[in-house]
Amino acid sequence: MKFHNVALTLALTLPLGCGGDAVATTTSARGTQYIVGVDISSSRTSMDLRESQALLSGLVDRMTYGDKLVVVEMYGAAEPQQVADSIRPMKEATPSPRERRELEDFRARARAIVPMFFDSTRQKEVLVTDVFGTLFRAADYAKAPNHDKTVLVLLSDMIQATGEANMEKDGGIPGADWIESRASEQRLPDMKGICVVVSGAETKSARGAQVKRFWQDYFAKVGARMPPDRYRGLIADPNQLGCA
Amino acid sequence: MSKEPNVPPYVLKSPPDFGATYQQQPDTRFTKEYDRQRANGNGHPPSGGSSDTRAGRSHESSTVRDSEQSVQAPERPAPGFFDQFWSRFKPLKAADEAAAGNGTAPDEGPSGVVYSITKKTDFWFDLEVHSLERDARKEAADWAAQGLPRHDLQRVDPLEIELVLAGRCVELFRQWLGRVRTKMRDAINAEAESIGRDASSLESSIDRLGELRDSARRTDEEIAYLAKKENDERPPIGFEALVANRLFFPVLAVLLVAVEFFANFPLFRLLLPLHSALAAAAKEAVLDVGNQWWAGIALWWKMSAWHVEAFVVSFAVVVVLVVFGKAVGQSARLLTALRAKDFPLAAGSINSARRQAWAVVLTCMVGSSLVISALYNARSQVVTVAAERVATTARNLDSLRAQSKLAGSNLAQVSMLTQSIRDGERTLEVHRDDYGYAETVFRNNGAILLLNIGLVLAAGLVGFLSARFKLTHQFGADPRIAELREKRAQLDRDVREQLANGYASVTSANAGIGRVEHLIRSSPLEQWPAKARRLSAIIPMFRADNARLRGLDSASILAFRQPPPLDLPTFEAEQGFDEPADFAALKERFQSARSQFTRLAGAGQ
Repeated sequence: MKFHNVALTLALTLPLGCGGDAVATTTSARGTQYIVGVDISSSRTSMDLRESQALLSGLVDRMTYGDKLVVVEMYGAAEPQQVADSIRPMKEATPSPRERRELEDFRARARAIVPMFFDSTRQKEVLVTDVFGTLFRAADYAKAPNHDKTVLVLLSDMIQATGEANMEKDGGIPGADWIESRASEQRLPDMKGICVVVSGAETKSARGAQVKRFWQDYFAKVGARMPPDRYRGLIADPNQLGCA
Repeated sequence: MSKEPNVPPYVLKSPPDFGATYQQQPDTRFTKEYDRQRANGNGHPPSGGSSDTRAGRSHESSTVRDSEQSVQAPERPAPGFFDQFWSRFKPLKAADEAAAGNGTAPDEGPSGVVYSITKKTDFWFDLEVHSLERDARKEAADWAAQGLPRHDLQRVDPLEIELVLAGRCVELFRQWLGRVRTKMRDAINAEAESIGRDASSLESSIDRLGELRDSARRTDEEIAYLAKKENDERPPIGFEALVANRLFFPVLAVLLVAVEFFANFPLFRLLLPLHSALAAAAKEAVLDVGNQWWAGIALWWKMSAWHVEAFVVSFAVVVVLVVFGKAVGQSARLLTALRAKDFPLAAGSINSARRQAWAVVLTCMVGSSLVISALYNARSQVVTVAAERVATTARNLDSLRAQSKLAGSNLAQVSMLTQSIRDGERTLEVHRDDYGYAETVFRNNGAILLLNIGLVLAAGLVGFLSARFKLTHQFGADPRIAELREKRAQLDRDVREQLANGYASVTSANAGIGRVEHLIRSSPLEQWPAKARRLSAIIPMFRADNARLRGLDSASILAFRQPPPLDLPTFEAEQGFDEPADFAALKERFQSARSQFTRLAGAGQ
């Protein structure tokens, strides 16, 4: 009788004791959606573009199971280049060889595409920068299901240069009333919950400060989160592409 | 010129009104009338009867006569003698049909034993009675012609003619009784004799059966003795296994098959093309192999399952090789262990076995050589096949890369081509691994050839060590055994024949006993009252005809008032039939024989 009890106890406890490493952690299993806006307008130097490409490549290397990547060109063409790709979430706590291979394939595809967004030969063709249009498109992409959070990475100087608002001109930076009027007209995108990170912005000039203030007001108005330290001229570490 | 009126003669009615001899049941309607007639013999009441009754009868008879004289009364057409004869003695229906038709059961047994015995006697009796009646009518007519007897003369003694008729009736009754008794006794005795014959036949069968059983037992013992003697004197030639362990051959055979299979399966996997639907799965399985300790087994199992053709072919090849090797080994053992000159008496059988062994050795050596050569050639070809696959995959990969360069700014196409290139690179990697394996196999083709030969030889050695052989009946079976077996078969046939005879005797004797008991219990003489009544009517018929021919009433003739002088010996008819004196002993003898026969028949089952 005692032997049976001991055997039963061992049978019940052994799997628990040996399976400690196999317990799955399923938090944020659906991953993060990264929407990357790439600005290759003529206002940006080739160095800016290299830095942005390096940051995007670093982001691609950092992406993992369940993440999605959407890369959108930020200029005023009718059909800006854009591509979306994703990697499936893991089924178990540790990736299977197949899942590892799929992740590598995803990164390889992304790495093959990223340079095409930073083609310097096309820089001269892009004469305008439509940040507002990019934000509307990003807001639409953010509505897609099957992800836990959305990070909008804007690789841009954030200077809107279109007919609706041309910040390159003196006094061309809209004020808070402009934002309010657009809000009253319901012409602002719905960006609630989106984390916005800006790399490549002009920050050292007075215009840059005004532009930063405008965008802070703008993102606050549309419900997006943009910590002050995530609006920078350069973000070198891809790990900082987030709001945490 | 007679004063007496012309009265139609008495006609024998068919069937008779009373007391018909062939009636199945005694006719009780006649009893009262018979008793009344016996009172005076002519149908009139005794003289002491009431005058009213006599007056009434006189008036009735005169009325009848008047009416017959005045009006020709319609009368039934008189049947001829043949009609009367046919109506009485026409063939009876079968007992079952009669019972079904009439709703009554026949009083005789189903076999109609008693009826068959009394049929002719009844016929004879009727003929005699008919003759007697005819004579009575003739005498009545003769006496009437003479006016005799005188109607007014009271006689003390019976009429002479009535005495004659009575004597003839008594004689006929006695003869009928005697005939029936004789026939019944004859039948009973015949049945008893038949039972005796059946009992004797049964006893004969018993004796013969006992002899046959004894003879069969002795024959069996003799056969067993001769077979044992032959085995002891001339034991079978052969040899036992050098390694007696029963697991020796199975274990080593499984081991050899496994080794050969694992050595040859990859070769056939590379040689035989995989179905395109499974190719991707096979590649995925190779790429997805983990680092678990069972990963090798799991991958091998998946590959075996997907490469069904390679699995079956390689397994069949391996089994064939092992079978060839084992057969060669066993035959080689026989060739080396048995020589005709060592056993001159069994030279024929040994030479026959050696010839067969040589045939096996040659066939298996040729077969195994062909299989091993085919494997050698296949290993030579596998490098070419693997190299072609690598080249094809590399060409596909180069094509994809070229397309990727031409894709330009088409992001989707670049992404898709990038993925295809990565897949192609992986396929190329797998094929290069296969090619490396094939190259290794090709470089070691000679060594693998030797390994194959060694494995076949190992199988042959296993067969040699585990071979056992026994050459039985090498001198031919003892001819006496064959003769005894033939004799034994004949005895069995005789036993069956005697059993059939015995059962037939038992059946026949049982039926005979049943018939005898039926005859003893049956009472063919029960019909005696009917016969007696028929005979008792002879004298009244004489009186009636005499009176009628004289135009008188028989009651008015004083001589006819006396009872007929007929006294039939009825006590003899009431006696039954006794069993034959030795019937009980016969039955006992038969029962004893039957029990003995049943025991003997059951003992042989």
